[in-house]
Amino acid sequence: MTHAQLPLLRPLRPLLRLLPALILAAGLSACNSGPNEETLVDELRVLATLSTTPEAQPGERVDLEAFVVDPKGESYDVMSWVCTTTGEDCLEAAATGGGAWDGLRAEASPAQPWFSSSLQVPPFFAEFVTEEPLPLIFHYTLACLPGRCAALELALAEPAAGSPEAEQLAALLADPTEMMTTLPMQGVSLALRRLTVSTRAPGERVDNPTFSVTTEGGAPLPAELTTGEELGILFSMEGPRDEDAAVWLYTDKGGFRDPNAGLADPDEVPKVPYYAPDKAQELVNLWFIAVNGDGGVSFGSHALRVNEAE
Amino acid sequence: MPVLPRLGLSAYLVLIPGFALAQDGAPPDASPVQPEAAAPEAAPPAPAEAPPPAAPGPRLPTLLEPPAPAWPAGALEAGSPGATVPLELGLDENGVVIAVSVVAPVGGGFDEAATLAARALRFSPAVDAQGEPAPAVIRFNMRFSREALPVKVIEGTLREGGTRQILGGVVIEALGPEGRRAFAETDDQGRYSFVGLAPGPWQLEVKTEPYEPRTQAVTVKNGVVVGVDLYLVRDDRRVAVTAAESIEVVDTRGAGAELVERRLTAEEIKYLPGSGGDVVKAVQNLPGIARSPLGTGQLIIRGTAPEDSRFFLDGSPIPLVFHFAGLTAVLNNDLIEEVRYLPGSFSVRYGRMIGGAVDIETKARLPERSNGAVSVDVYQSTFFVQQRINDRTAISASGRRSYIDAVLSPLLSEGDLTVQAPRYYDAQVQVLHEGKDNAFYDVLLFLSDDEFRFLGADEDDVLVSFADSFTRGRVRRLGRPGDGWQHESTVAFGPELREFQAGDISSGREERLLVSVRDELSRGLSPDRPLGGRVGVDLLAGKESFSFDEARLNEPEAGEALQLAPALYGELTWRIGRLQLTPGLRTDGLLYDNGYTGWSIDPRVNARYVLGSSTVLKAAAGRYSGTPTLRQVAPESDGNDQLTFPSAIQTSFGFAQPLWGRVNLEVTGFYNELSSLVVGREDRLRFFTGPPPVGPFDTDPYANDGVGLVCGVEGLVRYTGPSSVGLLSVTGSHSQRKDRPDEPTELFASDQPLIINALWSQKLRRNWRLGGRVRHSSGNPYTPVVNRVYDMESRSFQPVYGERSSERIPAFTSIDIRIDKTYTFEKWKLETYLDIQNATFSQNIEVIGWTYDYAALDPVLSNPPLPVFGFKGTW
Repeated sequence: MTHAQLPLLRPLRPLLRLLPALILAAGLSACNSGPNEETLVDELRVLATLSTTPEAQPGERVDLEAFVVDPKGESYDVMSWVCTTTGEDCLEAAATGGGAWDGLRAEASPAQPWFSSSLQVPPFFAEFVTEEPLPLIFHYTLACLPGRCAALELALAEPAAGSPEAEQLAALLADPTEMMTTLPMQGVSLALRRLTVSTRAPGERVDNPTFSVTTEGGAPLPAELTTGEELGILFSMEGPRDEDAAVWLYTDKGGFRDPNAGLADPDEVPKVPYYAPDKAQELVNLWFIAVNGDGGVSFGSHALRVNEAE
Repeated sequence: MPVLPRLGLSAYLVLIPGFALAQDGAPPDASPVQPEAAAPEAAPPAPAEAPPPAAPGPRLPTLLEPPAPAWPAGALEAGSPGATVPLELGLDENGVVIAVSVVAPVGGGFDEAATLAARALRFSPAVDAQGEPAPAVIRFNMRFSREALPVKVIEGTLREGGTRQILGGVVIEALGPEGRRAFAETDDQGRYSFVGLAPGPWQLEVKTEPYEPRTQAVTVKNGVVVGVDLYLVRDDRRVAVTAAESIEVVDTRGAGAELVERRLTAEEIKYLPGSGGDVVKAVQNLPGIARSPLGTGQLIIRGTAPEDSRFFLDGSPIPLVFHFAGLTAVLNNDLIEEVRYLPGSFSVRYGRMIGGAVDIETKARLPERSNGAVSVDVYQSTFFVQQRINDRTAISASGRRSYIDAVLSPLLSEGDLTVQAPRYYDAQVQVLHEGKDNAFYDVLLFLSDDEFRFLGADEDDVLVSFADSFTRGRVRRLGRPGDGWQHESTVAFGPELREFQAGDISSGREERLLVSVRDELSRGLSPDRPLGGRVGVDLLAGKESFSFDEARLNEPEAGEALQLAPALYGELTWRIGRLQLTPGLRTDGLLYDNGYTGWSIDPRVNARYVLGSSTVLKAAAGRYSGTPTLRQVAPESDGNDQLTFPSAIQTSFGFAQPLWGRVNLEVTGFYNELSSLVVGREDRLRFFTGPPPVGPFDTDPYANDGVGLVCGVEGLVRYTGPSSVGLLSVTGSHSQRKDRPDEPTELFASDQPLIINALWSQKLRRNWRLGGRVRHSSGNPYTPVVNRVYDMESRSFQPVYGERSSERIPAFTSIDIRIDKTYTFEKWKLETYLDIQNATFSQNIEVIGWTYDYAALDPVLSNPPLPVFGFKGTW
């Protein structure tokens, strides 16, 4: 060695020591296990829409229900309507020339989170529908804080068929996505669910699932938790399902670790922890929405109190 | 030693000694020299050997010690009887020889040997009439006689430290007892020897640029030949920049030169900040390339999509040049001669693309000696070994392996989750052979493999995985038939595989087994040859298959086809005075055995005109065609077999102008019209080398409905100083698209109106080097999300988009810093570097994104400052 210059490398040694720390930090950041933000509902939202049957026959009347969450306790209005994929416009657009607005209903400041409407599946679907289920009906539910949605204001006014207001309403509802471009994001929630139509009779067609929510040992969920407590919740489902079967998890305070519990495997009983909020709460709502992956949906909820930990 | 001009001596006289000092005992042999100034009086003869008397008055210089000249290399072995070389010596007032010139050359290397030996002669000072020491010019005959050969006492070689490069023609001075001196000059093998030195302590001294001065003590003993190998430490700050002067040049090699070609030699750009020493990544500093998000290394050239541009290795296409996330190139730096960046208006040699190209040129020359390198940094280690087998053949092997996975995988794996974090490797074996048929042969075996996996409970439970690999075997022959002709023949072959899997939700696989053939005959221009040209065949053939199973697809897609893509091209280059004109034509075809056929004819022309002494004006226009993918035309994937080739009409114009001394300026304007772009089916899984695209998506069937317009100006200012290199590249451009006839015109997804890169690399003392890079580029446009719809089936929010491309990501600004230090040892060098990207921790938005409910922006930000520390040892 002609030049003993290796000692000059010493100033760089701290960087070498820093390297494992950097890698460790990267690793730890990937192992975050806190509440999943998607499980916390903190604004007005149409959380679930259900129907008496997820797969209907042409001409069959189906009851539709929407569950609207309003964590801030504000007054809101809600409406629902349906569109079909068989025409250029929504079903009600064709009905604006006369007759009832089947499938369309609006309500101002509902007292209950459940909002109901009903629809007769168009009988003419029978001309082309077979036993193969087709997603032909789009069920929209719109919840808005008062004054934010022109369509909802119009619907609440129940315009006479053929009136300019009715035509204006029909134009708005005919293209819900386009309508949303004109609405504010805050205080407005639009949800879409597709209903399938087939000629299959009840018993042969897809039905809504049944599911259960328990804690370890099959015990029911507790009525009280303490702040910051972790509650392991077990989920199971009965009946047919496909690979997308799951229970989706929501709450208005605290949070679940995962957004859902996968139930594709009938033999598995997945457990997902719920993390209670850090502050005492008189009322915490847990909402469970089970989907069987074939269009069937069921809803469950649980209310509990969170006490200050001693 | 430079032979000084004959001194303008203000001497009083010129002394004419009658020396009898020749080693063979020859009689005094000296002759008078006329003084520069009139001599006041003639000089009397001086005694031959006796020291001068102490009395004042004019006195001749006398030789204090007989010379011992070393014979020229090979002269003794050749049987030379010896020679006598008449010299004229300039002496200063101390009697030291300060100038030597040969009066009557005798040849055979004796003149040079005599000159060297004369520099070691020692004389008593000349004395003028007043008794004062005075300079003088004398004649002296240096005699080489076989009867009195001096004895060799020191021998050795002189090389550059680290590289062990032979240093020939360097004078080594030996300083001995009592002021004795001797000189030796290294031959073309770096060998030197000293003869006839008196016993005792000596010191060898070497002073030559651009090396640090070197001294070595040595003791001379009677009857012993001391071996002393010397290594000089190169001081880069002393290097007059030569390589950097070709950092960007207009190609003058061969016929049909590219109109705009920016070449980066591997040696010069490995020190540029921000590239981590990777020569390919440095291309991204040049004008015309938009910044790719997260430094993924995508080629977004002149407002075209990454898939519109291509990578080549010596003219043969390769599927990718960067490992994961653009960390590093897939080819070892030591194999690369230079990187050619062709932003557009390129010659007919290149085709099947409407954007630009990067062609990596490997070294097509034998190394001077066997050599090697090993480098280690925080991501990876690489090695390179090259061995000369004989005078005509060399073989090299190189490889690279990342070890991010070795560190991250155990950290990230938890419970049933097993993580196989990004790992990549590549390897190359190359044989170079200089044929006796005046041709150069190059055989290269090359593989690259990247993989990333998240596994569940067992090896088969793949949660997410991505793999990208290819292998190439290539044989190349570069023939030189003579008279300026060059014949290039290349055959490359090998498989390519790209796979993606996300649990059971989606998977994709694309596989190719391709052979590419290029055979090109070209002839370049020369001062007496105003006409050149090239003609060639460019063929791609093989088998291609794909399979995609994605949730949004109605049915899994799979297809397979044999492919044949022949191309013919030719061009003439004609110099008419100051004008050089290159018209050319290229025709491409594409055939799949599923029935699809397509073709294109692309005429191109470029011209350059030398204005004045150094200004070059340039202009070009031409048609450039791409090709649709198999999936886009295959019936199995609802492709459109009526698709034609997308095309571009590219025009460019500009000038290159040297400014002040080492500063050069190049300005190029361009205007490109894109047509028949393939659009649609954006609901399908595609392989991307960068971040996933942001909606809204065109999900209609494939069609040639897309059109586009790209225009802009590129400027490049380059400074190449003796100890620094600077680069300023500025691109102003506009790129727009109209995907369907009934859709509005919108900005291209990677439209970046202003891109500025400024780099500076400064050599410091003691082989330190400091560099910095400032980057500024406009953000990409994006379509804002103005609302959302909650989809009950997927239990997720779906975005409602506003006006297309109406928003733009904030501009990107970043500063990168690089520090290098090279330690030179006798037989190897150690380079260390610290490359810090985003040293100022700018929180730039790299990719736009939203929260899960689209209520707020949640973009991907720039990486925090990432110090990349590395070593590289070369020998």
